[in-house]
Amino acid sequence: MSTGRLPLEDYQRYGRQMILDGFGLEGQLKLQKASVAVVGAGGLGCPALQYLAAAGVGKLGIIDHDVVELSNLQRQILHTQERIGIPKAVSAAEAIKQINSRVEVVPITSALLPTNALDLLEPYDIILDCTDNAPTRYLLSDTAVQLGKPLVSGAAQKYDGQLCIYNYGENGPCYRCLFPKPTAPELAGSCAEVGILGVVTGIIGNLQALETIKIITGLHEGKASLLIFSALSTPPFRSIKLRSKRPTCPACGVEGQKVGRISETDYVAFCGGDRPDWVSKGMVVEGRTEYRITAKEMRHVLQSSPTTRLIDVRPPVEYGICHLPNSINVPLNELVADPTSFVKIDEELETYFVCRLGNDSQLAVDALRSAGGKGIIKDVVGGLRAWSKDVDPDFPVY
Amino acid sequence: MPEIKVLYFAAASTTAGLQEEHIPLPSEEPFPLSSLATLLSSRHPSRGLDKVLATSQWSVDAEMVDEPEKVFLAGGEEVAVICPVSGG
Repeated sequence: MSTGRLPLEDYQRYGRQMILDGFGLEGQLKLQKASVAVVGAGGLGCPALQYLAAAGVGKLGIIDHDVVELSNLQRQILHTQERIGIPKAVSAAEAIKQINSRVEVVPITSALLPTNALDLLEPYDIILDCTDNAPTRYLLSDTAVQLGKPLVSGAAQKYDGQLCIYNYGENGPCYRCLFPKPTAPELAGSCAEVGILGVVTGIIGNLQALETIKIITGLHEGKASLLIFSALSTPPFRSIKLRSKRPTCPACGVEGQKVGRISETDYVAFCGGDRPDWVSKGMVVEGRTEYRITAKEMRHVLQSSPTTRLIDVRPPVEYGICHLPNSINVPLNELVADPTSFVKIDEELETYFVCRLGNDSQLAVDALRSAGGKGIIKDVVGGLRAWSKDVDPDFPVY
Repeated sequence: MPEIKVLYFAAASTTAGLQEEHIPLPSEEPFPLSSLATLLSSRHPSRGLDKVLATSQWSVDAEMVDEPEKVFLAGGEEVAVICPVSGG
């Protein structure tokens, strides 16, 4: 039995969880003494922080260098319209203060880097991976191994999510044990590119909070497993039994640490380089001047040339969100698979391709040309984003 | 022919264009798990599934596989493609 005591008011605040078998005053005191670092105050971090704060975790570190944007609010539920433009770590700290003013919150607005990760995370008992990119996931895993701390890791995209505690228990694997090779950046996809349903990050973030509370209070059985969530599958949850740590793992294997010093490791290079900046790439004209036209030129062509066809190569669901009135939809994957059956070769016609940002439309031009397309075949620089900016400000940007 | 059930999640589901499928094994002989990536890629060509599989892991009947070259499928198994998800 614990001999500790809580401030009087806390018996009322936390009574509902303290009366649980296996939790008790002792569990609450453990939470109060615990410190948790949440890396990423986005779709996963917000719900995780919300519940950890409400449950009475003593100290919460929030590491995030982004600022709140309108497109975050669909899932990042601690942020508000009023706080758009301010750092996410600060916004989340403000929200937590309103939930539970006695939690010590440490907002950190610098990016987590190989050079500062050990120092930033060393003061905490448990680390939560709520990040959105592969390099930081490997960095966090290596850091957790080196510091000997459990890493409660969540991930989500589209309708799916994953939850796993790395570097935990007797023989629990680290992230590198499970995924020794990173996915290529162009396949990894961000929430902006592949989409995410907000409540899916909410489910995974809540589970991260739950596992963290279980670890702190001693309710966790100490064995790691990988939980796969798929909102549209039946059953939606699947628990995968994990193997032990890989003896040959370069980070946590029995043969010792081979990954080298964290501060000297280039995690971005290890993961295949920077994530492509599709907005900038879609604006590049150099080397393709004869195959590209600007949005303003496109408007002029549509107004003046009757023998024009405008083909929108986005997926049908995106075409359904908004499209230019005279465009027809041929999704890129169908076009590339069989260009001339979808876009008949007709030299009398001027063919223009458009997409969201101006990247896929370049692939469409190349596909039709290499299938024998002749005459004017071009695409719109910067895609519909540029159309909205330079031609029609009423055209939606998503 | 014996059949297996394959589950796709996240990027694997995007590139395969489906969430699950039943597929017949090529013969009555035990099928090596290490050959499954090639089989699945040939069923879903030109969408990048092969690249996703190259960095993914397998689970067979809800257990992560350590060494695919030592696992053989007889039919009736549920095989899941566990690919790294980085979003959040």
